[in-house]
Amino acid sequence: MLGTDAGEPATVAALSSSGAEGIGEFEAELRPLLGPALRLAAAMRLDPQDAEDAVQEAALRAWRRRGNRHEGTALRPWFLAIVANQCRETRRGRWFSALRGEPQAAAPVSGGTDPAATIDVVDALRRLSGPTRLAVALRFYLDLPFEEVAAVAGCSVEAAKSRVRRGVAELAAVLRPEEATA
Amino acid sequence: MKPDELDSALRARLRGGIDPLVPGRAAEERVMLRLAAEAKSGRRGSVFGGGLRTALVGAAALLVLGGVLGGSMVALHNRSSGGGGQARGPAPAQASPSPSAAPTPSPPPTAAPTPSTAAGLTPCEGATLTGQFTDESGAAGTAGADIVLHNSGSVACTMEGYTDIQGLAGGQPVQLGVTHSVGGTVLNNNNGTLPAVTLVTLQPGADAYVAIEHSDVNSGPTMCPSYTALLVTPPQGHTAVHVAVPGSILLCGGYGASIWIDEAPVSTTAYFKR
Repeated sequence: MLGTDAGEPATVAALSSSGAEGIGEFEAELRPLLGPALRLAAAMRLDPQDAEDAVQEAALRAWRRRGNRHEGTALRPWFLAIVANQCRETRRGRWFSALRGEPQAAAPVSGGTDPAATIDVVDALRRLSGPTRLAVALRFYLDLPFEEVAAVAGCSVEAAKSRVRRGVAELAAVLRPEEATA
Repeated sequence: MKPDELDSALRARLRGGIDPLVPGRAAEERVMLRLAAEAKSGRRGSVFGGGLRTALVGAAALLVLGGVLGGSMVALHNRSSGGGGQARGPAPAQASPSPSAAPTPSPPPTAAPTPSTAAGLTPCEGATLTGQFTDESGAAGTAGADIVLHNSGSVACTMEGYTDIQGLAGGQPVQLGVTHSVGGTVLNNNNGTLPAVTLVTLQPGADAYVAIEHSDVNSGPTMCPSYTALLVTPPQGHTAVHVAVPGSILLCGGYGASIWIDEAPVSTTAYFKR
């Protein structure tokens, strides 16, 4: 839990007002992007806790590197690119996954969602390469235009389209699209 | 199948498969809190002293080396509150912490564990209270509710701060990893305002309220345990009141505990009642 020295619970407002020039403006800009960021991280990491960790680290990294953002650059692709990088780095650095047990199946689902469907999709996504999974997630899960997919992925628009096409073909083969509409 | 239909079908499948893995609104709030703390401190490191991931590694290593986390992990966030009334038996098998549990820091003590001396009144005890689980509310992955504590005794008593909470599964009490006003979006009503500790004097026949919030989404391969009742020990009290939960309550991990529940302090007004 976050807390002050006096033992009182911390709040965003209290912390924000106590220092860090520009944090309020940065937070206001960042907050609407947390939803898409968590969705992207979930698609990349396929684990809720990992996704939250990645977005937390990405938010801190974005704050620390805010000076590197070119004037006029939209925050969304810039921040989502940081999230994507964080997901990649987390994946590379995950030496302890053997201890923890890398989840091979999706977490059981509450709320009426079919767990089997989740497991199918997770397994299918796991088969995709990192860049392909990122492109597919950005295009088909976050519904971003190709220009923004390219900006986040750090590639050309054509390359983004190519990755998406490849991902769709691989997913369609695994997920059996004739069942997709069922 | 036409390309457009294929695209549409894949979108639907992705949503159906990934949506359950997306952290809820409480996660957004935690990110914002951590960011604000980082900005305030100006530190480059984690506000949690090295980051959640480092903590995860530590937890995993501890699990492997010691195998004694069963009590300690869930106890991270528990206050002793004078002993508690009901015997706190060992956790059943499903309640043992998973390696994914992260030892995030304990919340600072925000309620004095000493009895209140207001007007010479004595602290409320579970034996003179009745409890009701009500005002259930929820967001994606997070659920909350009020617990009404009714003074069924003949004298007034006091409560100040946070209760202790155990889960009851198969008749066995299980100590939960209780955090205090961590500030999930449900509990703070989405406005970032965390509830304050106040001294509550409960007259005979009157009600006081405690709010709880918990995750009902698994983050690992094992199903989260469910409980049919909660045992609530009032602040400064020694005996628990049995609070039946309609149906059952699913408690998943969070904040360092494999079975986590967050609570707001005792209040004279309900938290979730609309």
